[in-house]
Amino acid sequence: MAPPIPRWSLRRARLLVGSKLALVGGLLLFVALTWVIEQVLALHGPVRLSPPLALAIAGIPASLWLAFFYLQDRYEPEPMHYVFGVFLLGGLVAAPMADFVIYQLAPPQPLAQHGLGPFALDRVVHATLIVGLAQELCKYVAVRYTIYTSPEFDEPMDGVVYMMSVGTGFAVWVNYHRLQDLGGTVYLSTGAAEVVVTTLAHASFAGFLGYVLGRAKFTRRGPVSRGVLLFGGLFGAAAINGQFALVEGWLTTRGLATSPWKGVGYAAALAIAVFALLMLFVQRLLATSPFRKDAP
Amino acid sequence: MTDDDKPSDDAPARADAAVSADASPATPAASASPAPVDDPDDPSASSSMTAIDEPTFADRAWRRAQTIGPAVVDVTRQVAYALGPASPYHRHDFIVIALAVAVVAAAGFGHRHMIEPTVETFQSRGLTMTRPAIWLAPEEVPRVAPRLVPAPSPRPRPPGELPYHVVYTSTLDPDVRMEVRIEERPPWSNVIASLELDRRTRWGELYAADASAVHTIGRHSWLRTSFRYAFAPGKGDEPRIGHATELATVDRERLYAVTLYGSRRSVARLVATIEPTLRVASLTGMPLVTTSARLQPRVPPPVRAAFDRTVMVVVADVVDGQLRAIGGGSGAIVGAEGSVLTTHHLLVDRERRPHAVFIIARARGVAQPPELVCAGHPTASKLWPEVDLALIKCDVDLDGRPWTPRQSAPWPALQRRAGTDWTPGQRLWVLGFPDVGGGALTVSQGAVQGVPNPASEDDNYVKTDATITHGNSGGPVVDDDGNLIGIASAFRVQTSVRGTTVQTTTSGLVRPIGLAGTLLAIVRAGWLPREGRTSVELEPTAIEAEAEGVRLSTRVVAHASGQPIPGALLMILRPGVPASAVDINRLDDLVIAWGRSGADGELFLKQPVPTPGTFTVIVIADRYSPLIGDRALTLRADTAPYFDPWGEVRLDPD
Repeated sequence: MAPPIPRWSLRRARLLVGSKLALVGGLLLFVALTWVIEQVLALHGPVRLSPPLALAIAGIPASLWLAFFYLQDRYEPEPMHYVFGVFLLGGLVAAPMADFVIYQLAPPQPLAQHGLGPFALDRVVHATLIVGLAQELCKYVAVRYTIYTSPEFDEPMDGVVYMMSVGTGFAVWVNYHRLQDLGGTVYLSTGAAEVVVTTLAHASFAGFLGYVLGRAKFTRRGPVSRGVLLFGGLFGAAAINGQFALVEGWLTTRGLATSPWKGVGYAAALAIAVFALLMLFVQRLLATSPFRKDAP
Repeated sequence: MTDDDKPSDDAPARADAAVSADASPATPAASASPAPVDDPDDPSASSSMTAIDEPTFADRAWRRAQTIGPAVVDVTRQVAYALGPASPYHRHDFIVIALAVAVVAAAGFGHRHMIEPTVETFQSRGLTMTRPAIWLAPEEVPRVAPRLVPAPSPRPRPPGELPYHVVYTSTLDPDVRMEVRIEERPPWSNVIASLELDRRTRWGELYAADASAVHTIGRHSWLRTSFRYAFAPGKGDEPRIGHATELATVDRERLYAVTLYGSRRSVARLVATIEPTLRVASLTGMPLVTTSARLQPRVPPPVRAAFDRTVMVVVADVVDGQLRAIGGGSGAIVGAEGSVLTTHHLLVDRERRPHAVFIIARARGVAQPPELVCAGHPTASKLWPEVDLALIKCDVDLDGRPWTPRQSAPWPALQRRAGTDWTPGQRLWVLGFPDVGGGALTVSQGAVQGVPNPASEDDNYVKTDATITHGNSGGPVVDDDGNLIGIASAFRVQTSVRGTTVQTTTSGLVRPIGLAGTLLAIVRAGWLPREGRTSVELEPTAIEAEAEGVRLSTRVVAHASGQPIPGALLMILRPGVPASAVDINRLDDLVIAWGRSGADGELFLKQPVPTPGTFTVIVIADRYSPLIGDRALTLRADTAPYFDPWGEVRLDPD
């Protein structure tokens, strides 16, 4: 029988890195597989996805991303059932709640006179202050009033892990409904790539907010500073969320022409950039983690 | 108190977790029941050892399930703590959330105003309103040829003249449109029924009215009608259901109608924008009358049963290439096959020319306007101008296709009262669709004030104080038992001056049902509308007589008195023609022999009847119930050449 792996060791670090690479490879493989299916079956046009298939396409990348995010917390991994529970909260509570709020505040209006430009004021307000803020607020509330009060939330890094979990669950709901609502107009490989990117984006926005949440919980500063920190994090995440949707929509649809890969490419670039930034923050948090082997 | 003095946010949570750890999943199985003592002589002991070493799936599931309860309690306590006043982290956190919610709500409010369509003022030909500004330029609405009657192509409209009929289309959604129609005020004062006919004949059989009500906008009555219709967006496209709301009013000179088309939500939004701003230059003209909502006075159940036996009769002509309602009245259903008795003057214009078409509308309820059902032509009806009565029957639906009563709800016929006695003071009920009823069925109670004079055609009316006015013409007049006793025909206004007082008295005039005996005989004998056969005369004109056969004769007498009945018509139908196939308008084709009784009631058929054979016999006499005997005559080959099969034919008074 192999000896137990210590909490922090070179072997564990190699295992983690290998697992992460495998997961990222799995995500790429997922997109490649859909492209191969598209080529083999000669699916040159949009396809209509049945609900189970749409759920699978929305769920598989989310599962892989969830595993990837979970492995980030290498010093003191969170209980798996807590992380998964928060993931479910994101998909089954936060996302429906956000949809409800958005529908109430900005229902689809017939004959609405939108601004002509892609960044007209009404579009910016809608994407940022209504959709973006409502989504990020719902993700925040889902963590703040559940796992946040648990003893397991015991270091700033946990904010990132749990918020990314909630964001991943949130993305499953968003992606599933997008695949279903577009009924019959989804290109398989483009749709799969967009799901992968959107999941990373929602998780990264939420992770950014989670970083702030973790810092705010464990900071020694006063309540005003904490409030300002939280407020800034919330609006920062909402702003990134909003412009993500705006620019992606602008690049995807130019006049009557549609270029879905442009949108996916931009979304991927932004999501990776936000994620990379988040990883820098995570490194900072890990460096100061009280659970490090060499922690003071 | 500094931040450092504050308890850590997770401190209480840790304490809670410590408490709950006592009941953690690691221990409950052991603490719930003592471990079994291992006894080598007891076979059950070894089995229990096996159970401990290798727990079954059910055991593991049960242990796992036992952890759910404490976990739920734990989470609940933690959430309660976080939300409670004891949480030091709660206050500023709550402010952040409240602020974010406020920002989202304010953004929603502001966004709603940002996307509000800009509007501009529409002003033309006396109609003013606010309409969306970025719609396409107005286009003239092409006139649709009437479905019911052939019509010549309309002449082009000179600019500036009425009718003005244009459509504006949204730049955002081509299915969203606004039509503006301004034209001369319709000649018929029942504008509600006129507009309903316009919509029904324009949109065809898939038109369905949803709701209609009169609203006051800018001190003027406007009729708001919501309806659905089918349309195909383009050639070859699948038909869709469209929604529309029509806002219409009239003043002394013009009719104004603004119709909004689109999805239900689009139309509702447009109505909310446009309706409050509708104004017409003139406030003259009668207000649109709202539909009666309740019955006054209390109506006996037998009279109430006559409601769905009362119909509205709308007459229409082609005006400038469009079918337009010219007038309207009422009618009484007298035959289950769709025969309706009404007044003659309703079906003709002032020059006594028949109108192009009549449309029958069936009552749907007391507070609802009637439903347009079918149409027919006055020139194919039985017209009897001498007594101002007519018998009409639909022969086409509202799309101009052949129609039979089986295509709609049953047509229950009113029962006639036996006898023709009229007593002053006798109570009667007038049913109909007068214009003052807002298009709905109206009931008026009254008493007989004057009895008819059968000797005078001009005075052969029942005079009553029941209200009879425009639109009542042709409606049934029934007694307390719901029996048809007359047809509302006219009203007279008498003005008397006594000193300085001018008194006006209105009397309703009712045609006694006894006058309609011939028309009712036609109904009972059977008939189908045929163009040009408007005569009420019951007699074949040129039949193909058999060369050989039996010469029949008989005598027609009244059943009760045995008095001879002069002028009775007896007809023998061709072999194999049943009574149900009789059509008074095709007697030349159906009758094989016929004759009329003389003053002494004696009757000789003009043609021989071939033998052997079995025949249907019809006997019709004015003021007597028709007698129809299906296969009532059987002649053998050895029947005498001159033969009286019945001796006497006895008829009951009508």
